[in-house]
Amino acid sequence: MVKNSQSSPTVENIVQELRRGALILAALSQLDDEKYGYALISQLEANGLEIDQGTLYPLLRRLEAQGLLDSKWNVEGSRPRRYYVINKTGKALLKDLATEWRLLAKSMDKLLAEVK
Amino acid sequence: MELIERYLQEIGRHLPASKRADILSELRSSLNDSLEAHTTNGQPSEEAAIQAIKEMGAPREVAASYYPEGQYLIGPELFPLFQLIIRIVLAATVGGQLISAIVSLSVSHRVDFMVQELLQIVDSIPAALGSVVLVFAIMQWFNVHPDFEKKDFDPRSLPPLHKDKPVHRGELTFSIVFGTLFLAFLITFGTSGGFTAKYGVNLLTDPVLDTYYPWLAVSVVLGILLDIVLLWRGRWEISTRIAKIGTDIFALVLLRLLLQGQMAWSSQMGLGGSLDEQFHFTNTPQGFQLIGMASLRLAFFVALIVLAVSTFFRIYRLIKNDLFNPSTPGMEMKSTHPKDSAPG
Repeated sequence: MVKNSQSSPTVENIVQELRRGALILAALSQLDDEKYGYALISQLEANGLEIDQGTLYPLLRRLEAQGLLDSKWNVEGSRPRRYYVINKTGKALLKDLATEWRLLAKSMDKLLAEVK
Repeated sequence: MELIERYLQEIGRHLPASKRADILSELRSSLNDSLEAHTTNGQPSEEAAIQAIKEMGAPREVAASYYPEGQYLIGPELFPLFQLIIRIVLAATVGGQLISAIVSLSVSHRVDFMVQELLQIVDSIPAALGSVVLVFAIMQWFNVHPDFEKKDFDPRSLPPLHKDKPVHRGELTFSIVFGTLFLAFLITFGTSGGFTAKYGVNLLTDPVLDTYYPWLAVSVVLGILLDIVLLWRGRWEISTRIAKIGTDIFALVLLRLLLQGQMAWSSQMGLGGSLDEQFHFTNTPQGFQLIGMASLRLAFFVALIVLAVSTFFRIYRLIKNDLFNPSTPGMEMKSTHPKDSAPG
């Protein structure tokens, strides 16, 4: 998350709002293979996107409730873990979202070109 | 790691009961992953646990994020506090009205006054709950959030682990409904002379019950109040266990007195103890009363035995689990499987 020298609750709220949609896209994009929450956090962080556990887990549950992800508990291994994977509906949405994101990013780049 | 269990317990307090166990299992698994990542020399330290917990966030915040998003009258940040306040207000309103009904009955000896007091519950509950909703809706409108946890959240200050078991909400609700119906029965028959009655059929005529019914009503009200407290708290604690034993003993004493009174009355009437014997008198003017008295005596006897046994086990569990073994947590610390019971 961007650390602002003038960080205040208002700024934090705006940054959170800005990131909310992007995090959904980011999470969906990395769930082609089954992953548990902590592994997904690590993968996103490795790609430069920080996300709190307290944000990711509820997000995954919401995406599952919306029918975009499937999940199952795996009790093998060192401890039981809930694994998530994108399903057919999620993949279709991801494709649309990715297109939308690229268009948005292009527009935003233009709009922000003069912002210093 | 106990600190992690205390943290999960605190989150669980604010989660919806239907999803609590599953969500906590997942968070436990993730916290243990995080703990492992923060552990350098093989043995997880308290500092590592604190770091893992802080990364996840303050308990109420984490729990709030599991509530659905949308346009809110009362949003997820305020909802856990709203739930707590609504339970307190509900318990206070119902409890206060019940006490007021009993006081009204004992002072006026008029059932209509008491029924009026009880009927006021219908008015007072929507009024009280409506006021709470209004206050919280205004807080939501002005974006007032109790975010004291955010600033000074220190995992070390989390409450200790509960070692008490969660209550069975269905049983408690049934007990409250049954208790209220029984109370209505007692009040209806008791205050209008029902136990010595002239309702055309004298089946329920019982001078002994007539003597003790106000105390029986007090015992039932205490039971209902305790059930409401238990519903609100969500789990058995030492204080509620002791209170339950107290109300049970009070009921046992009453049942014993009722039974003694019934037996004394029977011998005064020159009758034996068996129900069969009473049927020989069905053709006499007192026939229905005799059968009624004998049936009630049998019911009191069964209730006395059942209550005595359950009270004995309650006392045994209190001594064994709470008084002589206070340090043993009732919750499995290593419980990680989603099917395991969760705190809350």
